[in-house]
Amino acid sequence: MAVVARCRGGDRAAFGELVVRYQRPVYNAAYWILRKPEDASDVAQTVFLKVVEQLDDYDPQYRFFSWIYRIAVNESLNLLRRNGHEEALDEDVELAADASMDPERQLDAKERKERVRSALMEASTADRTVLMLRHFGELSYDEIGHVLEVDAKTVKSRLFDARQRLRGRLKPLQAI
Amino acid sequence: MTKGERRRKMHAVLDGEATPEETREVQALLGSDAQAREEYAELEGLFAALRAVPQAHAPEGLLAAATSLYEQRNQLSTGMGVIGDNRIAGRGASPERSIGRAPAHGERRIHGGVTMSMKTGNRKLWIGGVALAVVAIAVSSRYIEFPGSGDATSGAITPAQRHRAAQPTAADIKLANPGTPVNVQGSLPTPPASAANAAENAAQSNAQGFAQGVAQGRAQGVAQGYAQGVAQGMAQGQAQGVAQGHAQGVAQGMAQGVAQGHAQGLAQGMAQDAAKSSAQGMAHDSAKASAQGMVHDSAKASPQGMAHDSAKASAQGMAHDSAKASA
Repeated sequence: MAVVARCRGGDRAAFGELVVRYQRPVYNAAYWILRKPEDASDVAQTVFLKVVEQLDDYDPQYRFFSWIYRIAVNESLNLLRRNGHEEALDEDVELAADASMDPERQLDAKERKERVRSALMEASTADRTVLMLRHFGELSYDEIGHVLEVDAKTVKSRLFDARQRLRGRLKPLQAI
Repeated sequence: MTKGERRRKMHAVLDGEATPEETREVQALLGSDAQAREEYAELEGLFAALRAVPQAHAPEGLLAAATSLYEQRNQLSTGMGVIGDNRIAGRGASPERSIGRAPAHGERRIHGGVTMSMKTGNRKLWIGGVALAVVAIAVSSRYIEFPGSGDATSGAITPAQRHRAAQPTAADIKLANPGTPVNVQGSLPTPPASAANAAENAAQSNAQGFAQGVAQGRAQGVAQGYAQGVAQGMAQGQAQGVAQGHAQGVAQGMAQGVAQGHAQGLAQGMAQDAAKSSAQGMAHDSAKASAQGMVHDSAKASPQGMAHDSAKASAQGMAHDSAKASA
């Protein structure tokens, strides 16, 4: 990647491009794990600094995207570990609705999404992390394994278990 | 295939991670099993719901904050930076301190959706201040020697300056009648009590000794010189001899007498403070005797001897008294 190479050379503009390109996924990865916008923002900034500092450690056999996710997940999990316990949910995040739908369907869709989001937020950190990487980061099993430092088989198993638990949380909501 | 295996393969197919064989098995199952189709449809709904969960936008200030941190890091790495933290969340470089704290009263929100803790900011200031103090102490202990040794000392050492009162000048010296005492010190500032006493004692001693010495010396000198000169002159019959002998005798006698009398007078004056009247009387007598002697003595010898002896005696006496007064 040209941007990465320029960033490695100390190009400030390249660093800015890197942030612009990856700030949203990095921020969301941190947010889904930490569930706190402030902490996610802190971690996101730290992640980009670490990306610059550790560029020499980047292994090109993996996508840069998954490598940056790895840093984001590790930073977020480290923060949780240092804190010692998980905090209560921060519910002040406003999610955008799909403007292409009519108002009634918008309301249904918004409610459905909100319920799924709530169920996901109530899941364990491990479940949230692996589901986030798969469904929001759209990483493959191998890439998730690289991020979490486990093999693909373990990823497959963790994903299955996480979804099963999520289904259990959403069961009462099946009528929606 | 068990129900669990079937479900795992469905997940893999929906994830796009199933092997071709697993994909064929699931397709066959869906074609033949209504319950499997229902189960698969439910899973598809879950996947779709997960994909539909909206993702939050990154905070507006994230780029600026990250760039600021990046520049600070570069400055620090080049040794020219300033320690600081411009994180948009204002939560500090130690995220563990910030996690799990909901926005509370007293916090201000910046960059929309991001909070800053005033308390945490103060704590950071304190920590930063302590860190700076530690750095300053370390730097000072490295480069500044406590206590300083003479090795690293340089510069000029100047003596301490004592206060000096205004000294009498030529304008302060007033001429008066020879018989009238003159205060050459005029209107000098009043010294402290001890200094004043010392000065007074010195003046009295000086005057007393001087007067006594002069009187004795002159009397002896005049008598001795006169007798010798007269004797010589009469013996030689020469007016010149009389004059020379008289002059020599007067000069020698005055010198000896003045010196002896001055030293003696000084000692007496210092021992006895209450000799003022006596000194005045003696001075008066001395002046009288001196005047009388001067009348009789030759005009040549007397001025020389008096000037010499007086200057010598005064200088000695003044030096001695000044040293004492200063001490």
